Amino acid sequence: MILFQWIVIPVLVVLCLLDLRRVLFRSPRFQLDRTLRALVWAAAAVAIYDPNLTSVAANAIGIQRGADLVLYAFVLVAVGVGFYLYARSVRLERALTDMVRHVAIAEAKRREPT
Amino acid sequence: MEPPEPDDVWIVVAAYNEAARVAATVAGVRACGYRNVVVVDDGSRDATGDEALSAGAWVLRHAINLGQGAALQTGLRFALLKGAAYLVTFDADGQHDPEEIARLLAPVRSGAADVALGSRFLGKAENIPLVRKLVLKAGVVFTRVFSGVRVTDTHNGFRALSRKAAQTIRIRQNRMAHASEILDEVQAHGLRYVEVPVTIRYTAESLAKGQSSWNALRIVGQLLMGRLVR
Repeated sequence: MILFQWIVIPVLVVLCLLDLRRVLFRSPRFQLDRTLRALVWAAAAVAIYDPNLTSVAANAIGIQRGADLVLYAFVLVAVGVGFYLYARSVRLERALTDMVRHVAIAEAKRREPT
Repeated sequence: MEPPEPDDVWIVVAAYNEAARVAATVAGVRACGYRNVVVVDDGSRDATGDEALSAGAWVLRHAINLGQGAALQTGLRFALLKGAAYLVTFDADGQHDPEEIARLLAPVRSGAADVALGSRFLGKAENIPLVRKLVLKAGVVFTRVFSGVRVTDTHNGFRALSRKAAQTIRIRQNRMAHASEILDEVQAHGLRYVEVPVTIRYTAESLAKGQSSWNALRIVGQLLMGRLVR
């Protein structure tokens, strides 16, 4: 293994184990987001340990190079995350608007012109 | 002099940093017999709220600046809570003529329409810059394609609504895209609408403070993204 692998793979394994521990032992119900995150850490660790495996996976679905598969996956995930965060910010803004509106109406005031 | 207008008409004004103009706007509207004027101070950093209060308006203050769409929705909801039968949205910067409110309201009052939309292109647009005119015309085409609503002026803030229409229309676009959203809502809920010729007076002040024509692109973006997030 090269130095990069010695540094990154242990970090990814620890992150994966932390998420798995939370999913398996600490949470009373199934947590999809943590499970998916643990899978992402594991996949990243495996891909960094043996980059040829990404080529095998890529070839299996008709993509020639493993690097292309990683790039396509990254783009798709980035677009999905971007839209998810945008939707979250819109919903947050709507909640904030409702609150500001509620206060504004509750504190409405008027006085006759002098 | 014409008899005073009944109190079932509420004028809703969204205002942001309009301390220099809002009192004159409120006074002008009240001088036409409309006692119920709601100014929504949209988090202004100047004395907009105090000026509107002194002029005799109901003043509602947003703690932070949310945008014109949000301010109008706040004002409309307040007016509905107060029992408004007819509601008029009116700009704070003096571009609209309060003498035209009665004409705008007429089709709604008569029951011929649920919503009356002011149109500067059927009426008059005084001193309108050419670029602004072209952008507004492009907005008309966009609205026809996007919303299927055939109007001559899509971003005119001078509108009259029946109580039913104000209860039905829900403005969720906080910023400038609300004007297109209102047309969407009119179409989606099958509300009857008419266009009424109105006058818009552009002044150096209103142009300096008003929307940049480039904001049209941002409005399109807000509208498209707003449709994706429910």
